[in-house]
Amino acid sequence: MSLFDYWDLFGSEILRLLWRHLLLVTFSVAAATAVGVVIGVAVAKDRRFGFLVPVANTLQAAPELVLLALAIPLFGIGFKAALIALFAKGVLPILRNTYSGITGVEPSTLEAARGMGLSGLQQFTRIELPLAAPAILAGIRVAAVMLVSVLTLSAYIGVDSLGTLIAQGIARMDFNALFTGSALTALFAVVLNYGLLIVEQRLAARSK
Amino acid sequence: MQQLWNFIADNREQILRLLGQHVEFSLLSVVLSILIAVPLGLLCRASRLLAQLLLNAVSLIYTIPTLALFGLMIPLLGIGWVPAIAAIVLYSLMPIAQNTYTGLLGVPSDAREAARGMGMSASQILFRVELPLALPLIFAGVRVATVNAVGMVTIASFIGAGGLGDLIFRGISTVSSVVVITGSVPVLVMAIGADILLRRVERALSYGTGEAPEDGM
Repeated sequence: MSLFDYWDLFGSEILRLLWRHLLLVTFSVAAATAVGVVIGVAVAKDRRFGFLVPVANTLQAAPELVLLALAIPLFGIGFKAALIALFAKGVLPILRNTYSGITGVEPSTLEAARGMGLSGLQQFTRIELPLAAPAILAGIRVAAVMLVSVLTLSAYIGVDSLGTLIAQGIARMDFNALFTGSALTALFAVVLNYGLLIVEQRLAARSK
Repeated sequence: MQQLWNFIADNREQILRLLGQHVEFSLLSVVLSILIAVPLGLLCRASRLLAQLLLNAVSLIYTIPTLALFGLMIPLLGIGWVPAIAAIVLYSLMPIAQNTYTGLLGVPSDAREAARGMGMSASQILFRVELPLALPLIFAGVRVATVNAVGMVTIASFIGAGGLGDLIFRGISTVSSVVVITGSVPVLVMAIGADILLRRVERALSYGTGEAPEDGM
């Protein structure tokens, strides 16, 4: 069977898996962003949470597959374990970049804002957050690209995604499935990366 | 817990063999990556255009999901440890080449100037001044590549490369927590251990170059 015949035959299944991949990445990135930004701000604002930075740095080194595997004894095989692993891996870069973005704001800038009579909350929403936005977005980009990759692995614990095609391809030595799955995930990650990079550069240009 | 100890005791030889493979593959791919990526980083200095092309190409590869990269290797190199190491080396090019280039770019021009004034040749300047000053950053790239390699070797078990991934996958497919944990914990310890250890070395290296390495990636 040629590659085109394969696409003809399994087109709707491929699209379904692509759609699921997109959906799962979107949800886990959204959840990781919400949590990562909140914790990142908390760490930047309150020294008591400072210990979380080295913890996040260390956890970042944990391989995806290991997180995924260790989630199984805790949450069972399937969706829940996959989401927990995705979430854990995604939160870290966002947390770290939020922290460094916020703490990277020049004290003199804040001084000036205070001099203009901005309240603490106003300083945060109008000065600190916009200035930290490019760094935060960079964290979200790194997390999103990583999650596209982690999600493919979760095919092995029974979560359908483009990874399913790769897994099937390897197991059955089916090059059509293997190539379609690999090429689509690679393309997905690359497009996502460049798309977010462009947004990031726009934001950075604006906050200058 | 008792089950875990029993399993480890019963399969000690096999576990040690897989662990050995894991370490061997990780080290081999890191060494190969350094040998290829550092010269690439040096090559980037030849021209701006070349730097842009090369660095964009390697970061494009870095974006490709691990499993997809392994998958794409199969039609080219088949299965086993050869395509696995090829994929890991490709993946490691970005952190090392990029950091080599950035590190060399960051060498202050006075240092170069002074070396030239002392009568050093171009290669002497490179080996005695520029590379030592760029070393902390290059090493940061090596650290990222090493931690990645330990993780990627696990996944390489998919394409028949061996390593501790074998245990993890067997554990997953037989729904055995004991086997999963036996495979995962050593990988976790290795990855985090390598990260902590190499960060230490990095800090020691940057002592005296007057530049703290960036805590990037």
